[in-house]
Amino acid sequence: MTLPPDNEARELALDITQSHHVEAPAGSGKTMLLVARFIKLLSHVGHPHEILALTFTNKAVGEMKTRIVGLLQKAHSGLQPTSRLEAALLENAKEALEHHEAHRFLLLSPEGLQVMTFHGFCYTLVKRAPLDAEVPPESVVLEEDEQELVLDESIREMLHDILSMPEEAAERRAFENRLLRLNNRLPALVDEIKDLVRKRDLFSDLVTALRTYPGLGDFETALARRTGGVVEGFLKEASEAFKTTSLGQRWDAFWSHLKEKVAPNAHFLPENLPETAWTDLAAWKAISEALTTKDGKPRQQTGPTMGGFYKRFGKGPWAEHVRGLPAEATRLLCDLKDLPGPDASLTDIDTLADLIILVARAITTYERRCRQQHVLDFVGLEQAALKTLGEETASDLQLFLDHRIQHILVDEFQDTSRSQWTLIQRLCAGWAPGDARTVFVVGDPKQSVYAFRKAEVRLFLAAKNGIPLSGQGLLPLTNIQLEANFRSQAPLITWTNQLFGRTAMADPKGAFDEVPFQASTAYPRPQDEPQTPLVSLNIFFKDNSISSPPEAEAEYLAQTVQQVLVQRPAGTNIGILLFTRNRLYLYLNALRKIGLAVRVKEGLKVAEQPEVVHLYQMATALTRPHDDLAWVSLVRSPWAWIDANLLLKIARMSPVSWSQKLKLAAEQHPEIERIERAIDLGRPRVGRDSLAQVVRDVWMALDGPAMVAARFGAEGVTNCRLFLEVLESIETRIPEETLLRLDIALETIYAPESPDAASTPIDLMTVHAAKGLEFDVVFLPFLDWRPLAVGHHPPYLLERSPEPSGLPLIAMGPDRRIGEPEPAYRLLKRLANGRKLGEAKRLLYVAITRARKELYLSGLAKNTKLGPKAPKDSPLAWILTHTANHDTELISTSLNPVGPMVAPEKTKQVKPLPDPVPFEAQPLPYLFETPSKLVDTSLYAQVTTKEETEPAEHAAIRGTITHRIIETLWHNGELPQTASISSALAAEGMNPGTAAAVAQEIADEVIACQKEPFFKWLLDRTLPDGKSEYAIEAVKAPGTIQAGVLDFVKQDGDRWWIVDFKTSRPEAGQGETEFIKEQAEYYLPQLRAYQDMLAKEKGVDTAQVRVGLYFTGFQQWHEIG
Amino acid sequence: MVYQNNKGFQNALLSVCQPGTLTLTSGGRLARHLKHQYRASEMATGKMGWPSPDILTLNAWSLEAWNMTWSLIRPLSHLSCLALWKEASSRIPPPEMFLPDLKLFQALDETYTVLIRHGLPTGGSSAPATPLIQWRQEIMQTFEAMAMDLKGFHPALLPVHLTQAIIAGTVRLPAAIVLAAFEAPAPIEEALFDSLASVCPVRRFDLPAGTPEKINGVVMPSRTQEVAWLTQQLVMDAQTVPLNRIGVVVPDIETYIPYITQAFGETMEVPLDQTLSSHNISIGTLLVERSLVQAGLLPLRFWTQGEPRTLLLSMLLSPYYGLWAATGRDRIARADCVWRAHGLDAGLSSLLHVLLSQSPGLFALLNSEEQTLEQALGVFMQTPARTGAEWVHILERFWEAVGFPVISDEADTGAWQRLRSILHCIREDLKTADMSLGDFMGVLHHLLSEELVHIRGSEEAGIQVLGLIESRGLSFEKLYVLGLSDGSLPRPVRPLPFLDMWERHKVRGATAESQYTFAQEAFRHLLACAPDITLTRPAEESAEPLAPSPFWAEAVAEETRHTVDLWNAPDRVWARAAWLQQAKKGLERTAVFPPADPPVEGDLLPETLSVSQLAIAFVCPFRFYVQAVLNLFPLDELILGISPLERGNRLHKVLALFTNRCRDKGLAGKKDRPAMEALLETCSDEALVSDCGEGSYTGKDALGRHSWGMERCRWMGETKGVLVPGLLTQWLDLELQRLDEGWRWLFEESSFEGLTSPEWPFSISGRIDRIDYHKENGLILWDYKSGEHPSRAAVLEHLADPQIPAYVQAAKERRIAGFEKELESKIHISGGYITLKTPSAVTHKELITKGGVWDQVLKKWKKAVASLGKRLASGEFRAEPYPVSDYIGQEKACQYCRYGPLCGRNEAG
Ligand code: SF4
Repeated sequence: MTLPPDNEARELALDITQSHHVEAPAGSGKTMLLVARFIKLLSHVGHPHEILALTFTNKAVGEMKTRIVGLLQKAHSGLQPTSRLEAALLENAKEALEHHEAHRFLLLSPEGLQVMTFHGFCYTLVKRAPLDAEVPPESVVLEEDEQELVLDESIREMLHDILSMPEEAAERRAFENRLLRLNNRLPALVDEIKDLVRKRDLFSDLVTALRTYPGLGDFETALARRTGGVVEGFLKEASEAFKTTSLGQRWDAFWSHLKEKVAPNAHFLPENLPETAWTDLAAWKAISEALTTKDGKPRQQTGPTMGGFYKRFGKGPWAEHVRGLPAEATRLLCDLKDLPGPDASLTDIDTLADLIILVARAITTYERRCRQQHVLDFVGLEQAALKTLGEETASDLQLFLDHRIQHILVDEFQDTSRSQWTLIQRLCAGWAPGDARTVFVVGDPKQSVYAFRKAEVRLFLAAKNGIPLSGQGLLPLTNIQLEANFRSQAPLITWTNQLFGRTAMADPKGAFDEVPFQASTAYPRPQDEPQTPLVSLNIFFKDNSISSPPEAEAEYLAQTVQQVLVQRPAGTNIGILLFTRNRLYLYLNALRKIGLAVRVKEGLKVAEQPEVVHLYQMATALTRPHDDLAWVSLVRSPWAWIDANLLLKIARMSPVSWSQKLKLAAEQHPEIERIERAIDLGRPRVGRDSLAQVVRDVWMALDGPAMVAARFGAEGVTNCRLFLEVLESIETRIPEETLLRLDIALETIYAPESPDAASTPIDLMTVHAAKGLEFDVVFLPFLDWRPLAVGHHPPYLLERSPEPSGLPLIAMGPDRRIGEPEPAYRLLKRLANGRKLGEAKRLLYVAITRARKELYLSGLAKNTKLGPKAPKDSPLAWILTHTANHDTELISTSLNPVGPMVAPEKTKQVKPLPDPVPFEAQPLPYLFETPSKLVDTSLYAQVTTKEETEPAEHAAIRGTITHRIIETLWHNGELPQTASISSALAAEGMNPGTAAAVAQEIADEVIACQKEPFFKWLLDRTLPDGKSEYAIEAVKAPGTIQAGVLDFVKQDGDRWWIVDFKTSRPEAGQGETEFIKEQAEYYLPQLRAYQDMLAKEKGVDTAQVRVGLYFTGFQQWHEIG
Repeated sequence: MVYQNNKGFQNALLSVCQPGTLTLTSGGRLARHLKHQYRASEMATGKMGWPSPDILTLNAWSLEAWNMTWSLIRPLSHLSCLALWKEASSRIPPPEMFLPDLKLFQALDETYTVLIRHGLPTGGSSAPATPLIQWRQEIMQTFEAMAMDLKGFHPALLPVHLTQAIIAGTVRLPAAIVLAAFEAPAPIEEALFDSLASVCPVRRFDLPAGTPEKINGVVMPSRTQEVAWLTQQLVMDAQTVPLNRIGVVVPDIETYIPYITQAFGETMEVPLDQTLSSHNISIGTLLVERSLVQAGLLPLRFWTQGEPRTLLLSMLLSPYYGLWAATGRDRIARADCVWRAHGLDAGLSSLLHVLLSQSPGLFALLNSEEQTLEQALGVFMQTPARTGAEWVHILERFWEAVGFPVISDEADTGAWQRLRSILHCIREDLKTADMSLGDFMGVLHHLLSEELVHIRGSEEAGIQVLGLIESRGLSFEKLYVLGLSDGSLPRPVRPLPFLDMWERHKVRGATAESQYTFAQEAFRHLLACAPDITLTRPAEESAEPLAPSPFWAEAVAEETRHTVDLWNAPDRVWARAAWLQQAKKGLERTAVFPPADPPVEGDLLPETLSVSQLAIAFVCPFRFYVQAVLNLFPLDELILGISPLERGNRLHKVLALFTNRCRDKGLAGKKDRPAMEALLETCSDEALVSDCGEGSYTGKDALGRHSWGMERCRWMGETKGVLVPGLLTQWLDLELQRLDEGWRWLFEESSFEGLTSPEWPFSISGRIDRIDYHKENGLILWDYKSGEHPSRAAVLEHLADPQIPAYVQAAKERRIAGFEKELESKIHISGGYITLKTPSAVTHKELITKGGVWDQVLKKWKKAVASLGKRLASGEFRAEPYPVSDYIGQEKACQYCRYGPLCGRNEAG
């Protein structure tokens, strides 16, 4: 087999002495390259932890680890390679294992290798070095839903604080101003603040600027400087484009001609082409005004009022140059008209300051809360991790990481955010080329689609020049361009190259973060390449045959999928990829209608599924007896349906609450009685058991699973079970709070895979979810998707300047009560929209490159005389422009096609359940009983026993210590020091002052006992047959064992004595005899049990065992008869 | 001694467990099991009684032995240690970024324990120290000095002190000692054992490394599948193997517990009889996670979290509070309706105040005979700082006053006892230093989070599910080891931030190497637990691949892959699950859901419908049925700030007051703008005065009041800063223009009724926001809108909004009293909307201006009302947005409708 065309590049990428920047298009096998480099590095480093591989998702980490460890384990077990490529890898793996003989286990253990997500790595740093990270130790990272809760609490706290401030306080004024600007919509203001807190890393320097600059003037200057940078970016682009036009090239002559003809515009047009500084904007605007019309076209009609030309200019030699201005240059020129000049009032700086003041307050409150709760969100985590690495040097890293990192590999580098980029820079601080430390970044800028997660594709491009290191210049990276595409068939690759290379990604605009397109080549190139077009474009519009184009598209899609399944070989897998979820239900219903099972990945929110809605209402009803709507929903669910007639009857019943009305109705209506009976199972358990448990039980009691299965199939039941799992997982034990958490949790939970779709070859998902996957056949409907949402103005815009610094810019939306957008806002909107379109093109690239063999494109258009017209700035528009300008045989286009008619598949037979296997619980070998428990008359035994002439706890402590002294006396013959007794009392919880006094009392008491004959005889150590604290067990009855510790046991010939020491005394006014009688009665069951146990243990008759109480307080023995 | 497996290990141990011999084990589970074995063997010989064998964990014995030395110094309690760390941190303050809080003290305490256990100096090493390490060293020295002052020491030091005592001969020792399962003792334990061996005979029994007869490796697609498969195996095994002889070891047990609990609950009988056990899960739940405990904490949380409505409501509805439980949740819960209606979300006094004024009956339900709720809860707020013991006292008194806790079962009893004992500890250990309520809550919460409560089950009966540590030394016939994937064995490295690198290399678990060594040992011992072992792992979780643990490849020669498909390949074990049985039965039939509602019978419609009710019926008959016939409404949602409904109501009120007064005062005629503006301000203030507050804008909390203040600003315009016209001042200007044009404000809020037609089953009543008159242009009937208004086409062509046509019809029929004079001539009558959404978009939109004709529209409209009326009267309230659905779109009609779960529309698709 021939080698791939980029073989040399691939080999270079494995040169582990060099740092690389690898651009790897879709299907080029970049993960394998990373794995190969990782393994190769392993055989050279001093310790495996000197290599750090970073990616963005746990999924990618899992994949990389599985591959690396898989290869190492395979090499370890000496298994044979399955391919040439694998043979080489195994060879390296073997070397690595030999090289790290001492650490072999690390290589074989996925946990042992440093393959992490950025966040995982950040967390490692922060956990290890909390002080450097400025984060409390043991902080944990918040899940998104938890973050929302903390954020909500913080906003409440902030609002509370602000309202407690005097009216003139800056924050209060800012709050009120902002609120009014939003037409007094507090929720809108709160959303805006929350959003900015989440993005605080993007504009932290502005917050700092506002805090540190002495006056708003400087802040304004800083913003203006940045705005100027943006404008200059646009000027540069326009200038470069214009200079290539015939007019641009001969501008001086053109101007002289106008001057000569005394054209009015000669007064305001510049004599020479201006530079591209912000101050040159006016001159450029003049050029634009003269040459272009309002709608972005070259001026066709000219005259004194049309561009300021002289009257007969249109007939003159230069007119053609004006009319023939190329479209792109014209557009760029025209776009300049709207840009703000350096003297324009860019934005209402006070308003902006208001917002920043408020957000700064919110950030402070939020971060304080996070610190107090020892939690971090992802932004906080990244910022903290950066702090650990310091601005200047990463040397401290050595103090908290066990091994110095020598090699860094970064996957999907195009998705790097600015903080992550800084992190990489700081990790490399002090590195120099040739010092045996390397960086290897790999990615595909065309697949950068995570701007919403703060990815900045421009960083990928910037990194081509190397990694800028603070105070050190650039750490150079060798650029490698991969080209071979192992995934898709050649015609598909060719078409993709053409679409993007010639149209969609031709002429990339730097300001909008558009990236240059690099073509790929199919490898291996099969001999028998298919000749038929592999790309099918299907356009739908309203006409006589079609009343609803979206439905027609969905129907066509379903039928074609079915046809593909029938015609293509078994094992063909199909991906239906969507840009958004908008029409998901439409496609899904069409597919289901003809009986096709589909695996929907993160498409359907579980909370929106009807059966789940009812379970949700049940949880609500059980939690909130006053939520009438939830209660009525409960009786209108699939498992408890009552009709409108009965509803009316119940509504007219007297109680106010529906929960009570239903209770009453149950007495008269059996159908409600059934429901109430089930609810009654749950009602008393709400607040005691978990809400999920209660809901589950009521649901089951109402035959819920059956009803759901009957109407919604197995899928419905699976959804319900997932709902219950989620409910269980967020249980707080306070039902109202559980319910509130549930709302947040459900936001991000998608319906699980349908059991019917377990073995389907059809996957339906968003393009984002499909990243990293591939399919034989890809369907890409909804090409009429418009990435630029039409409609209202967001309240603020935050964008990075296109300058290399990428500093943030922020501008305020119009005052909702009156306003028009400000110039700065319009500028940022243009930037934002341009970037959105750039990303949408990349998303289209990702979608198209998922296909291995075939691609079905479809979308809605308008039917015009000139043919179908796609919505502006939609993927369909790009494709149609391309097909119109570049005739290609690789694509076949159909208008309003009708898919092959397919009869719905017969519903599957339900497989019955087999007989359940029996299962029985196991009897316990015995029950355990402790006789001391026999005296516990209530839960509050320790409080209510008679031992109390002093506080209950003290009595108990006194007892414990006296027993211990007697035990010591028996073993040592010596009484402990009073100080020791006092210390022991304190150790048990008595306060030291009291302990000293009590210790003396106890010591005196025991000394008195020692003088008492019975006690003296008992503890006579010359008679050996005594046992203190004697633990025994005995069979009380078959299956019951008693266990106890007897205070003192003494053998006296064939008699045995059991002595239970009591340290309590009679209450004031109570006689000793009465007290003893009472105590004897009280302890009788326990003592009798001891008697029985000892008799069994000694194998004697109970009559031989004498038992009684010894009262240490007044030294009296009382035998129980 | 060498044994093949744990069975041999246990037998060997039991053979030396004689009276007089002390057996020390590394873990409690092994000690209990050995005792059980001993007991069983005694019984097997027919004995009826025996001395308890002396088998103890090392920790338990150490404490006992220490107590018997009567030393003057003592180990401090955990709480005392925390209090000492706090005290120490006030002397050696932590770095600025660290809050001197419980978590910090806890972390220090753990680090201290680790250092001591490993025999490392707490005060520092020779390695260069970072500021953090330096601080740690200083604070630990201070801690030790302070402990000494208290004649105490950290409990981690017990083995050290005990060792010294043994050497000094002050510890009473048994005739012989057996050490069980101490293969890798910590350095201080090793020293202790050495000292023991120097004074009495000591025998060591280390755990064996196992080589099971059979070992399988099973890979399942996910954790859920893994547990489903395990469950199948267990229930099948149970047919032949006694349950307690089957073990399930789960290294990452916390992750698996929810899956296991659910799957076992669904497939195995959970016996009600306490003498039976189906399975036993070794770790319990945290005490803090028990319902009783959470309920008990509510009063504290209420105060520390800003007196939120939700927590007060939760307390009132909690079954654990006897005082309110007796009254009935259903009744008490209605208090929340009042709070929601008044937009109140926090503040005890506001919440109670509004209840007292709006629903005294409900208010009375909250108070006991002895004291009001405010008094009862108020005790927490009387003094800001008290000792822990005092807080405990206050809390207990509160509980007593409100009948907490109402205990319902054994689990509650257990939780309550544990809670009380924790309070007891606080009472004993925190008697001196003052703390805030928040601090008290923090300490209590911390202690409750440390405490595990065992879920019912027996260690000697039922399938045993345990963690890695508990499994040490146990023996089973069959063993399953779950979740052998990345991160479970070995566990991730412990961060231990207070240790320097040198120390970390000495400490177990602080480096990858030591974690691996530990895991390897543990895995080898695990293999000694049974002759037949199955290892399982999930291939992925949440679609993320999980690599296997390194021991997987070591132990599994060939892995097998399975899936459990309950739906398509049901098995006999899962056939036991009640939900599956029900679901399968359901699958066999097909249900139509929702079933169509039959026509509702009876006297349904009121004689008169208001125009707004009619408008609802136009949008959707079912919604009309629910709202107008059943009178059922959703709970009011609490919106931050002002609800749109309330905003509209108040605006209407100002406008009505204003035009009315203007007319009365003759201001309208004079067009005296300053006076009118002044009047507008007065009317605004009047409209904003609360229904139940005390002269404030509304009865709401501070935020609500402030929002209304802002609303007034929005209405009247900003007086400071940038001058933005007010909504109402802008409106006034437009009205003045109209007055200039010759319009007059005739009436506001004019009611009409009795509008009917022979084809209508009801008559219509309504109230017109305002009526204007112009000599030439006629009458206009206005409706104020504080949001968007319907388009002309919506009203005139699609009849989507019946309001204006109803007004015009009523006027034409002379049903609006008061302007007969104006109606005398054949005058143009029209209607329209005055929109007041933003100052820049205040508009007067007349639907048909003079010259246009209403007759056609009204005819069509009357017909539409007739057809709708007929339908409603016949009891047809189908959930079909009607008759204008095509125009507004069903989607849109349903989008903001809260009755979706009732009407079944969601299900219909
Ligand atoms: S959801 Fe739609 S169909 Fe159901 S009641 Fe509301 S408006 Fe009517």
